[in-house]
Amino acid sequence: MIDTNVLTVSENMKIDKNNYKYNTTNILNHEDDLQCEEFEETPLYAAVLTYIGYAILCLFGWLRDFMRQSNIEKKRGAIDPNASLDFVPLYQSYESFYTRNMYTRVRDIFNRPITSVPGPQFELAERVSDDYNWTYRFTGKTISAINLGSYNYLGFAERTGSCATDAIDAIKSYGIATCSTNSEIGTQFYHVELEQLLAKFLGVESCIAFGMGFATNALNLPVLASKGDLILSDELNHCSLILGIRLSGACYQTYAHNDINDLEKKLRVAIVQGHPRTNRPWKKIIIVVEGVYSMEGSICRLPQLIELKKKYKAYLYMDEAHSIGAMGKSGRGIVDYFNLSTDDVDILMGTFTKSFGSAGGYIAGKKSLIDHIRVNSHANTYASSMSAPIVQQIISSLHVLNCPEGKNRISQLADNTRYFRQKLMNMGFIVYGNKNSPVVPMLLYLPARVTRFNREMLRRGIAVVTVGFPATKLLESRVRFCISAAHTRQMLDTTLAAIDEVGTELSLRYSTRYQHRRLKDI
Amino acid sequence: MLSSVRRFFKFIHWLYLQYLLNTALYMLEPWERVLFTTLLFAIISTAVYSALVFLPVHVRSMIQTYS
Repeated sequence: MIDTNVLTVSENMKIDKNNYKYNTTNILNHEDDLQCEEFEETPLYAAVLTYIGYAILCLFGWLRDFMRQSNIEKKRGAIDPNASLDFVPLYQSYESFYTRNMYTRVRDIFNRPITSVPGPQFELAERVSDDYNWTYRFTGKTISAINLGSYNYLGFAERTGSCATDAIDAIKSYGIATCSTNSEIGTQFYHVELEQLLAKFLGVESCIAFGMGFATNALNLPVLASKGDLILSDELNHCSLILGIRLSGACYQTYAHNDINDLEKKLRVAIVQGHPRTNRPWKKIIIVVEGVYSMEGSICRLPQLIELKKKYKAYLYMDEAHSIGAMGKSGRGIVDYFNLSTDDVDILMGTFTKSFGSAGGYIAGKKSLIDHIRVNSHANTYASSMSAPIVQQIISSLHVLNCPEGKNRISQLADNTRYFRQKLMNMGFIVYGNKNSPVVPMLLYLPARVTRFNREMLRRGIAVVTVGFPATKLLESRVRFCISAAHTRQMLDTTLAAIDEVGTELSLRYSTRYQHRRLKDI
Repeated sequence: MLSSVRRFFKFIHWLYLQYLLNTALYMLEPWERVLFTTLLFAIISTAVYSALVFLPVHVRSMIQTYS
């Protein structure tokens, strides 16, 4: 069996000045370990209060639905226009119970429109609702806020600078639309330049770029896998990977998140037993993982995965959407972070949306793989090719990443990440994930505390992204901070002070592993 | 003197906020909060009143039965 992280648990009970016992167990004894990550369990009182909160919301949801059904109250959502005629009902009204009665009540904290470039600080359009978030009106004013929600990891979302000037020049030289697909007449020399530059940056033989990151996953997994194959995917994979897996027609199984033992067990069972009914051997087995999981902040266990795939002769598909540019000493992703060779990962996928400040996705690997994709992929044959300024933005940002300025950005991001995470954990908040990942999810549990946290932070001039039920499990609602290289130490300090204040007011310090402290005591 | 009164009112406001947050009433409209609080108050006050009226009688009869 593969020897995963050696857990040595040393229990120390510390007692602080309030005579409250803190259980400080060291889960991993290597503080410099690249795979040092923590997922603290939900405290019992938080789980109970969350369930009570959802139960009360459910009761009032039934009451309001009854009032809407019996015409005491007007129906505000979508109404079937032909309900009286004998048609099959158009909307499943029970499925939208959650949307009508819980999401809409607090909808003003989600989907806020922005009115400036999403840099480290940006402007939000102020909107006010008179009827409890069913309709909005814009007051015309804008709120200036620190941006902790954009995936701006390397700070390339800026209006000025070399990338912006190059992109504007590209519009002047090449126009905006190519008006064709890649396989017909839409491949320009800058597309070829992008692919060659990206292949050199990643250290692979060849690479192909597409216009949309989601479509890169959803339309290219059917090229790589088909009926007769098996796909083993992590349980917390992104929707685009799941869609691609389902579209491919292959059989798929999920394994517990980042659990190498579970994956190995499933691999062994799959190889020994083959197809479920006929017991024929699988044509190929693909393991699909992500580099950095954006809801958990955890990093995939790449060294163990490569060892496993070599032992059982499976293929590895890694989606580095959030980790390319953001992880590793030179920003080359998770492979660089663990100092491994890119020959070991068969298919490297990534997006340009997050770290490069552009749009689109790519797949990188051996030349034979990329040639196969180029011929057989729907995304290559039928999607319009990438627009000139977008490609130029990526090319310019790749040039910047090779200079010292780029190295500064990468180290600034790593610095910011470690500083922010360390301070949050020292204050006593529950923060999930690896200590080096720029995605910082902090758990809030109760739905009402989630809303209040979001609104209070905006009142203090900090825009955060809070996520609740359908995107996360019911109990584990969280706020997800995306740290950027463009954030200055002062912005992070303002944020930490605000989190400290709001966290004290709402009692958000749930951790039993770290002492609860105010920011001024750290 | 005035600052301690102000701090007391702030404390009461904080307690009310905790009540709203922990029962998810913070997300509901004002009339729903009034409805829930009235129901909760009615249930708790009924329980307290029954305890005050019946507990001495029950305790006395229990002592009589078991002594």
